[in-house]
Amino acid sequence: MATMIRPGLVDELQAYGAEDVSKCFNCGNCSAVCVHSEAPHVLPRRPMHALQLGLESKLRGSLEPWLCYYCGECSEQCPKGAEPGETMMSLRRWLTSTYDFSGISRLFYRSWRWELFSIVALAILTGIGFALFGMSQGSINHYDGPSAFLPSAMIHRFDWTMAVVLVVLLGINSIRMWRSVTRAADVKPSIGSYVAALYTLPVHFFTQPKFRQCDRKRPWLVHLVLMLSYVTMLVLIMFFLREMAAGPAIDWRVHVFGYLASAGLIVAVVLNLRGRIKRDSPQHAHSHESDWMFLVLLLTVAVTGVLQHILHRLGLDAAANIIYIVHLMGVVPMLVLEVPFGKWAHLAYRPLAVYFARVQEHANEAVARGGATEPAS
Amino acid sequence: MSARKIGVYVCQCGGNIGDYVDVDEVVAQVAKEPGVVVAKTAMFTCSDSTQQEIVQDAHEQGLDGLVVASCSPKLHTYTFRDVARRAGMNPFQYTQVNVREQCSWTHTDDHEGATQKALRLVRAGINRTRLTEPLEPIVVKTTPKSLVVGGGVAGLRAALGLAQVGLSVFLLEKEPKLGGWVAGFAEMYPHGRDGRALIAELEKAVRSHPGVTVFTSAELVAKSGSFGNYQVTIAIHGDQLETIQVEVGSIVVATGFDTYQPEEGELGYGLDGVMTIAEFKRMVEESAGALEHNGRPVKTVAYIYCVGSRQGEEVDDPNTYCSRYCCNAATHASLQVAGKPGKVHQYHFYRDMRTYGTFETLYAESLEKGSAYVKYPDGEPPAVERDAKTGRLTLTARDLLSEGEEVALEADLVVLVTGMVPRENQGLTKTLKLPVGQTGFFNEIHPKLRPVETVVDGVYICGACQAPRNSAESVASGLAAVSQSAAILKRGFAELDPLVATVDPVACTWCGECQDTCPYDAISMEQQDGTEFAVIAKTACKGCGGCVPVCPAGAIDLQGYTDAQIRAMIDGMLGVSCS
Ligand SMILES: Cc1cc2nc3c(=O)[nH]c(=O)nc-3n(C[C@H](O)[C@H](O)[C@H](O)COP(=O)(O)OP(=O)(O)OC[C@H]3O[C@@H](n4cnc5c(N)ncnc54)[C@H](O)[C@@H]3O)c2cc1C
Ligand code: SF4
Ligand code: SF4
Ligand code: SF4
Ligand code: SF4
Ligand code: SF4
Repeated sequence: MATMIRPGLVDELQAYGAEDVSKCFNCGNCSAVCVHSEAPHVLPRRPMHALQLGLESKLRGSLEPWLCYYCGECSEQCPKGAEPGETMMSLRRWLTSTYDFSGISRLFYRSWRWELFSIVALAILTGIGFALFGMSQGSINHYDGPSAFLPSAMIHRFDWTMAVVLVVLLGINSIRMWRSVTRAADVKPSIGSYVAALYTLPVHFFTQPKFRQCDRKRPWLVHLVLMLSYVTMLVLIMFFLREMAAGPAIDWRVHVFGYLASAGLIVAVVLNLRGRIKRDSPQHAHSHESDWMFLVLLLTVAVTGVLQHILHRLGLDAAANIIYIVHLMGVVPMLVLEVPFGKWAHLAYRPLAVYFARVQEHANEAVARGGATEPAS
Repeated sequence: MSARKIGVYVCQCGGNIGDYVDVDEVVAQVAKEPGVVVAKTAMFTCSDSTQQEIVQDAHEQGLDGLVVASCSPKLHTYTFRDVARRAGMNPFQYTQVNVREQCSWTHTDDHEGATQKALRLVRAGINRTRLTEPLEPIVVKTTPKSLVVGGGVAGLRAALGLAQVGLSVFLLEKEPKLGGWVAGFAEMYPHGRDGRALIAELEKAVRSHPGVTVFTSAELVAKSGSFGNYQVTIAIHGDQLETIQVEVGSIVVATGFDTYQPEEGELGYGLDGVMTIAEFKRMVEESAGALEHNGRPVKTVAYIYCVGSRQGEEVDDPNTYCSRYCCNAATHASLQVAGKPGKVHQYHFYRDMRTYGTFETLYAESLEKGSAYVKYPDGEPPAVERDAKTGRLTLTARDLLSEGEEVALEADLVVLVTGMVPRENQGLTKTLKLPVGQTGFFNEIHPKLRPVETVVDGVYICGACQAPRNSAESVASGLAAVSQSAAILKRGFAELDPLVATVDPVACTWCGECQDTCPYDAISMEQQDGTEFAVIAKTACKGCGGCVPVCPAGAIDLQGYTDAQIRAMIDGMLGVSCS
């Protein structure tokens, strides 16, 4: 069956940040320099051209945009200034919105005003909610103890509820991703292939070995620091919240990990922000509004997290409580809006894409083996 | 013993000859031939130093005949004729023997045989030279007037150019209006100039020049006379047919091209909304606002390139050439569309993008304005259908840029980017004896060195009647034809090779055989004292030799290649004497 061309797709992608796609004259220099371009995944030229033409159904099921880590080599080598790296980034944004069942993702990527409005609105709601809750419950002058303003047990329950909601939302979208991918693939992998490839998921989730293959190692390292810090913090919050909040005798291990993770987060975010402001490297040359919101939220959350902790340690409980509310005003929109619908969603899609790619490879190998053992006619 | 003093030079042509032919052996052998006083070899005979040496030998030995055994006469006949002249000989007492293309290069595996063959060839050349007579070039007085056939952009510019160098010009246009194709275009690539305005400007300059006489609705019906002095008959289709005769020294043919006409059903041609690039360009230029078709806005346009050009075995009598203008014209048309109000999605189904030279910017700009390109494989053009359900035109093609993936597009218009084909012009071709090449366009003598001259002396070709060309290239070749015409007409005379046929009027019985044979109409009958005999016009005869063998009376001889010389050459080759 011929793939239907949908005129205008490329114009639609402009809202996602793909501005220069039409300049591409298909020389293939970009794919020649990309370390991740290896048959059957030809990138970034193939998705680039598919986008130029409007081969929407191909693109919807394409893994190629996720196999790009935006090292920016291709954009530097492109003789036409077609910005293939940024196009891959834009395609990831667009794919994220096609996986999302709710349409929120699409709304946010296409309109930064909506995204900002939603973040601010949710932040305000969160602030009011926790303030009212705190006042009804304890005293602003107590950070912990029986009359604590925001008791850690309550926050803990709240965190877990949020986590379950997030997992469900991301889960639904991940299943939609899987459906798009399998629909576009030539072979239907067996359960065996899905099982055999499972090992890729944790490996790629935690260490991004493909990112490390890029010529420039620094972006990978900064990303790794950010990511591990984040995960560490997540673990601390989800499992050791009480130990973190209950002073004065905080477990020293929690303390060490907490400070390390906070430092990691802040350093990584500041480096990325500085890069985007100075446009010092190809992957920072173009910034979509969603990139700024992501970094600013993260920075806010990290800084206020550390601050409220320090204030508490200094015995300034009232100040600590106020900053804690500000902290939560950042955390809730970040987790509720950005993780399932925004840039954060790549934490699921990218390892999944590597996984699906491996599954397909495994399935193709099986087909090839099957073919080879057939008797020659 | 011969009374002649002949110099023989056998060239090694670097190793081209010397590696396969034992040149020294050949020299040693031919040195013994009667009449040969100098026999030498040289590494490169055409080099300045060897030319000097020949001149010096000639002066010292008093040479009166020259033989150079080297490459093809096509390359160096004129070089060595000139050497002979400088050496005080008659240029027509020079013979070039081809021992490269016809000997060393063909017998690389047989050195002994090649050497023997070379020896025979050189001997034949010596035998011919021995019988040469001094000849003088034929001097023709020329008429300082020129005829330009075809009033397109090339013909108009040529007419103006000829008038500007001071020649009288007759400009002949078949149609009632001047201007050809260009007169029908609004915006043209590459500078966006209006074709109609361009032609109006040219026409004004041509018509106001006192040296130019313009005939429209007119055709050339007959030509007689010979080089430098042609009598041409022009038929003018007015209220009643009028014919006039004029005398001209040169004829410039600028009759242009036609566009390929797709057959009904070819790539959907005939379906509503499927049109040629020329039709589309007119439609774009005639619509004021947004592009519309049948009252509905056009949202998607598909172009199919190379229609009627670069054809392969899949068609009978294919047009194998690239039409050269059409990639430019189609990308340019897409820019015209992009400049209109309303968003139009444009898809180009192409084979290779040939926006050569500076026209690359047309392609780059069309990309930037959002045109998308699908590269279809050779011999697999897109299929065009009207979808029964949606009622829309649907194109299906394999896209080589998507690894051969099949893609489909629904479009409002399909534009067939049709190529250039030779114009139907049989009458003119016959009247002027114009050489037609394999592609059907008129042929020049040499594409590089003599690009506007034809084998008919004094008849030049230019513009798109010669090959697919854009207007700038057409004008440039028109001006080349101007300078070639001026070169022969401004001096008032021209020189021709005297290697022509002559009739012995006493031997001739006027049977007429030769007249029927001559492809150049050089032979006529004359009467004197009651006897009829054939006469050959020296200026019309091309020296082809076709008439010589058909004469039952043996009355014709060809200067420079007389029967006696030919026989002597055969003797030389066989190493015997049969005369
Ligand atoms: C759709 C299209 C778009 C184009 N766009 C461009 C463009 O944007 N820019 C560009 O540079 N080029 C363009 N071209 C090419 C351009 O049209 C040609 O290069 C140009 O017309 C060639 O000029 P010409 O004088 O050789 O031939 P023509 O324009 O064909 O003129 C030949 C003239 O000779 C006359 N004639 C023919 N036979 C006889 C005869 N036997 N006796 C007397 N008169 C005769 C014809 O009636 C005609 O008037 C385009 C062509 C097409 C088809
Ligand atoms: S940005 Fe880097 S990883 Fe991404 S496609 Fe370009 S070269 Fe490949
Ligand atoms: S994006 Fe640039 S480098 Fe890649 S194929 Fe297109 S023009 Fe070439
Ligand atoms: S110019 Fe372009 S469209 Fe025309 S024949 Fe050549 S390749 Fe084909
Ligand atoms: S040599 Fe050829 S051109 Fe000359 S008169 Fe004879 S046939 Fe005609
Ligand atoms: S063929 Fe010979 S005999 Fe006959 S007309 Fe010609 S020259 Fe005379």
